[in-house]
Amino acid sequence: MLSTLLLKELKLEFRTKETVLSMLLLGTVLSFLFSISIENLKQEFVVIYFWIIIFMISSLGLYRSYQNEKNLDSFNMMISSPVDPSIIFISKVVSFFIQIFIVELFLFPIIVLFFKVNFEISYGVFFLTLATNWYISALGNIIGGMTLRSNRNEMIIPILLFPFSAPILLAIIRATTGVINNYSFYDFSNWVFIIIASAIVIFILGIWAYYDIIKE
Amino acid sequence: MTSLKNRETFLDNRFNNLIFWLAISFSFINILLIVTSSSSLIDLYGKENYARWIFYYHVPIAWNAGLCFILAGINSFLYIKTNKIKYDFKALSFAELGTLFGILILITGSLWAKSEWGVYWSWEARLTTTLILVLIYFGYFMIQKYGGAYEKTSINRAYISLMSTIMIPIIYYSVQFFKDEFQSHPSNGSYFVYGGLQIFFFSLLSFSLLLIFLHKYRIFYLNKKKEFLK
Repeated sequence: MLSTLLLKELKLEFRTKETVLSMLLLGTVLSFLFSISIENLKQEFVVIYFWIIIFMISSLGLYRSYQNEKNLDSFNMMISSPVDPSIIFISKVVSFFIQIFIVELFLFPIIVLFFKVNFEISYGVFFLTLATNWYISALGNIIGGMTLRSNRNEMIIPILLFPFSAPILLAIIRATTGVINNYSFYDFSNWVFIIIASAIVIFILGIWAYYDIIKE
Repeated sequence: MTSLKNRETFLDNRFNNLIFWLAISFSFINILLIVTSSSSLIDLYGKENYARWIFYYHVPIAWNAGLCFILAGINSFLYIKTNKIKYDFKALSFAELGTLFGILILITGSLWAKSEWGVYWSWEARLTTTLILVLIYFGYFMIQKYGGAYEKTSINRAYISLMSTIMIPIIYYSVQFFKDEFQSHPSNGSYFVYGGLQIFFFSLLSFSLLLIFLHKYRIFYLNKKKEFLK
């Protein structure tokens, strides 16, 4: 069942590619603006701006994802079908996780190019990126579900997503800076712990709460 | 039409009346005590400093705001579990008061920071945590206002409140260690001179009474609204 729902989400997206493309375009424009407005860039700034841009464009992607469900009224049909709502939640989280990862794959070289710095991706950075993407995806789908019955979801998603993401933004910036500067793991293990713990807690909360959030 | 017959005001209840007058009089005495007492003027370095007065407002407000946020989270959890509307009203009232007191923390904290450190905002950990919580609760009120029908928004609000309560330790932990080269919060306890401690606890008591009064008042009018909706 999970694979069917996941396939449906991904097919819906990659038939038109509108969400991924618009996220990528907005990310490119934002990184262009950030890079021309600041001189004397350091390597840390790439990390900071990269994650700020990712949080901004993910609110756009979530809005598109739930707007599609609302426009076609398909969500009511899906929750009236005999499927466990937590499976719907997991499929949406995995789908958005894949989308945002694809966007990052294309956006990262653009940012490195614009900011004119040398940046090598290690396994640590890769793993931290995946964990943070999982957090954004789980949190964003909880918040997106909340806005499903609202007419103002374009406002509510960023207003709720950014404050909840603030601690994770701090943690990922510190942890990534620690990895690329070759600090010992002990120096930034707290931040890695915060990211992983938040991702797990929010994901479990979403599985538990998703039916209450989306039901009519 | 039943609601129109019910002309009972908040102060008709004897307990509410008592709480109202106690809160008013204690707050008034509190101001007089703080302003007239000379021991409340001594700052952390043993000098006289008028900005020290803000301490006797800032810390009691902060303790009450923390209590409000925790109680909002607990009542939201109970609402999710039992689906009884009284818990939702309590959670909503505590969330509103927590946000109000949170904004007051930010204002009084900035004023105190200006006198102690020379800047209004220095990314101190507890103020930053409060700021993030207040921003989350602004989203909470956005959901309440624009989230759709009442039955939907109430459950969504409850989950946001629960999530913010879960995130409080994580937010505090992360902001405390993020800006470690910046300002640290002055520790409390060891800086009281004679008389200051009593004034502080009186202030705490008066703000707690104010909190109880405001909470009772809000619950009373939410219940009235519920009767009217029937």
